[in-house]
Amino acid sequence: MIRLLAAEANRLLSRRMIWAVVAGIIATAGLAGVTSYFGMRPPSAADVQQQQQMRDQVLADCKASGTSADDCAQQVTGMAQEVPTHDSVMKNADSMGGTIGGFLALLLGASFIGAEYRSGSLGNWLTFVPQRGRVFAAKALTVAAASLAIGVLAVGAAGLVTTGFLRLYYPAVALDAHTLGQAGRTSVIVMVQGLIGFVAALIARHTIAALGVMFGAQIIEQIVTGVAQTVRGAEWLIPLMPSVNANAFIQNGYKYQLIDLTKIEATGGPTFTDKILPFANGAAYVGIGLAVVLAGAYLVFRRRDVQ
Amino acid sequence: MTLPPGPRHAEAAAPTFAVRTSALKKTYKRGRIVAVGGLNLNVPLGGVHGFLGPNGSGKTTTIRMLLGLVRADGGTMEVLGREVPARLPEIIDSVGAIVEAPTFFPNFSGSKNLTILAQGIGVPTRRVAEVLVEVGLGGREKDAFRTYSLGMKQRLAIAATLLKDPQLLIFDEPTNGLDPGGIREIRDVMRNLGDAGKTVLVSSHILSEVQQVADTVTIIGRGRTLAEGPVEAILAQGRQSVRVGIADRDRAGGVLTSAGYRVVATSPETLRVERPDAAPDPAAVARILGHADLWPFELTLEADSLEDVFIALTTSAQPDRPHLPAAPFGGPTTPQGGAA
Repeated sequence: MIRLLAAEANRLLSRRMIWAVVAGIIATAGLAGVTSYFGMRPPSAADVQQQQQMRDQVLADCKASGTSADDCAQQVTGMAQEVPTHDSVMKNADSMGGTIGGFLALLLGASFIGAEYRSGSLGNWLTFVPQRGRVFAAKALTVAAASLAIGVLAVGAAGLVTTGFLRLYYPAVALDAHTLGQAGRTSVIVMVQGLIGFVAALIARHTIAALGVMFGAQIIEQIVTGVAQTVRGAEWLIPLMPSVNANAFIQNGYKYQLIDLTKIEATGGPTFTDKILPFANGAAYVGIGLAVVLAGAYLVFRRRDVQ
Repeated sequence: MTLPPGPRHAEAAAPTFAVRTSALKKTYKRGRIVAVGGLNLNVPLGGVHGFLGPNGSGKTTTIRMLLGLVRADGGTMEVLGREVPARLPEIIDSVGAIVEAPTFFPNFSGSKNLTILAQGIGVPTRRVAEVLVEVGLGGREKDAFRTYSLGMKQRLAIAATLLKDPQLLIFDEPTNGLDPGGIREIRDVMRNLGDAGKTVLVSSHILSEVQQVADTVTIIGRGRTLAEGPVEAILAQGRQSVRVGIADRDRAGGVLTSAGYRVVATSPETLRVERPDAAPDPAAVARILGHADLWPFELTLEADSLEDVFIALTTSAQPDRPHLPAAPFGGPTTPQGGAA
């Protein structure tokens, strides 16, 4: 098994796709840098003065309209630029690293097996190593390790750059140790995405077909989620959606909303009800779902004729 | 029925056969397309065995089943005495195979492709350079596989099989697309491997090539065995005749017909003379004509080539037409063809 893993790792690291992954991770770090630079930069003295003038003007207009002083004060509260917390900026960094890293892992996982089907080299490989269970395990483990590395690097790069800018601009802000856990879980989801790409390409026998299926599935999920949020009786579908569960796993529980449109006339707008999907649900869904998908893929791989 | 081993390495110990299949079957589209319909294949240990059949006769499917790439629907298979695919891992290190066109990663160099294979089977990577030199790719090992000519790709595939030092080599249409030089090169490689005690199973529909290199053959058609045995025995099943060049063609024809020969005039001065039950003897023909004071200016023994036999067999394998029986190796000719 060790030699199979070594051979698969050698192949993976020799692929041109690995350079695209490296470029993607560097781009993630760059994007995090640009976003942090513009998003967290403390206002200049001129900006502060201008914001103060605007607040004074809004306050004056509010009072002139006969609104109470408390209500007017509340109106201008959100107009001041708040000092970001480490937790809030890291959520953005995780999201960015997870999104880009997830796409890169999906691409890498799908193309890793898709290229073997396209070139026909899988048949050649199996004439050297006919134990399909071991071959499948070696390929899946290689994709998992590479995808996890992509997740750690992409999320880590975005997180480090973001934290660096935060410390640069706001040295007094305390660093949040809990963000490490979230970053780690995001990396795990990136690994899962890599394996899902691998499985999709193994079943479709083609990289592009697999990517098409994955994007199609995402669109369908968004449509189903949108419908389930608004149609009464369909809300049970939401906890079954992959993204919702992935978010519950990453964010240690995920809050989503149900939208009630039946009371618009009475309330003047839709009514929102918050629901929470616990971390345990998300973790179980991701773990069991991945195991089922991998088991199904293995059965296909074991039984399928290789041309 | 126990069959003796092939002609060149009869001293080989058990297993007697490198490859055996019995009633091997493979269908597609829920049984509507029969790729292999009950094939009995016996490849003696040692030497070169030709596996012949027209396109679509099931050769490649059979080879894929032997290598565990395609699942059989029925029948049994043995490779080097082990039942496959269940025990294929036990003997895979003794089996090298090239199935159809050589398939490697196109963007990797020849050396990188072989290094990955060597790593996968636990062969020291220094062996890669050795086998590349052996097949004459020593100077091109760093070039991408996609830049190789077809001949170079074939040589790389052979180099890959040599990584394992196999006892059985399976070549599926190895000379497809090669120029005459390349064909000769591959033929020499196969012959040398056969002479070195390896078993080479080569599938092909280029029969002149196989006739030159094979010790034994199996001819299949529509997924069934039509004939098998030593090349000489298969050729003996074909038509043999004596071409007679003679001035008085008509009288010579009459004399030979009276003597029990079948005679066909092929030109104003030539006859084709056959015996219905055996190969005609030119000396006997000359004697008969001489007794009748007829003196031929040409007596040539003509025999069907493997291609002629192949065409006769595969044509007769069409539905509703009888076909020639198989000739077991070293044994009497008995009907044995495909099962089912």
